[in-house]
Amino acid sequence: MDTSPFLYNLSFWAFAALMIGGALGVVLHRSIVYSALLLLVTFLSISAIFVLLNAPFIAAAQILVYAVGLTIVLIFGIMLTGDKPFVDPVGQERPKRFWMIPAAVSAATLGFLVWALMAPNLVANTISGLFIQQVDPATASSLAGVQAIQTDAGLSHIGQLLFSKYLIPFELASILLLLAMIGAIILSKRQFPEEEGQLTALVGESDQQDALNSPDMMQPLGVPGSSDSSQNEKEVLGVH
Amino acid sequence: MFEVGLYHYLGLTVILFCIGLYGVMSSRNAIRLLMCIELMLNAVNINLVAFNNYVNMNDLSGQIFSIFILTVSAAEASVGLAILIALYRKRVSVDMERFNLLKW
Repeated sequence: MDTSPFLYNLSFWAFAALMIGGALGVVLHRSIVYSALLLLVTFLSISAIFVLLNAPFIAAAQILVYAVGLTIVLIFGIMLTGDKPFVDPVGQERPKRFWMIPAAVSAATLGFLVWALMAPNLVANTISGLFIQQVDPATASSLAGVQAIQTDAGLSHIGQLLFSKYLIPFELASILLLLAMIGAIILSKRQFPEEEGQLTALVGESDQQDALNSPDMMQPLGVPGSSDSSQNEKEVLGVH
Repeated sequence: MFEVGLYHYLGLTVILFCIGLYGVMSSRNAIRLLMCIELMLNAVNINLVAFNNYVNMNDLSGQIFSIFILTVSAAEASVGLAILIALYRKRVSVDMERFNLLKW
């Protein structure tokens, strides 16, 4: 970065605070819609952190994939699965929000990771064992020169790497996306009552089999009156 | 302390990861659980890019890895939401306590 160090540090702390605040809001806010909007805030500040880390391409991809795509998909999910007030058939009270054990486990994880960061030379030794020996010492010492090269040719370097060294993972990622798309369509496809009616007509007209194969199975288990309502639905739709 | 280095980014990702971990374990709404998984994946992404920036700058493999994580998390979120919607049709709720068919 060729900005002033003060500005760099200031923006790091500002975006870090925004990010942590947004993440806490996602976890702790009572309304799920506000959680989704705070998740958007978190994603945008994470992309700002990527810009600070000399990764403008990752920042743009973060905005495109997470801040735009994923947040919209999550809000669609919230809309489609709106939490109606649920009548518990057994009549139990809803248990209170369960937080003691998660808080203990995540605090222990936090403590362990901070200890690993603070432990003398643990991170540095691991890094030097893994990476430093592969870096040419001349280029590693001239830090400013490397950064200038990277900001100029970073994007094309990413493209070259994706299509040379990481070609097979790249193609596998595209197959994965295609499979995920097909799987999402098949999983969330509504089962049309007409098809169910044809199926039951093929199997037989007895009431038992009708009850087994009909859209009654789509109804929530254990909710009183569910079979009646679906019966009504079928009559309205003219399928029987 | 004010000067930002690799350790500041690592500490930030540690905090973000633990917030996501707490959310995954404590949230009762399944959509919020998906959001918290995304928070944890993002923490890992920042970690990769930070190591790439501070440790090994003339190879951009860290950024490539974070692109792959981005892809996988997009696939995971879409399939996860589809599963949630299919579950919602069966159990008119996205409360995690209601998905107890496999419990004894």
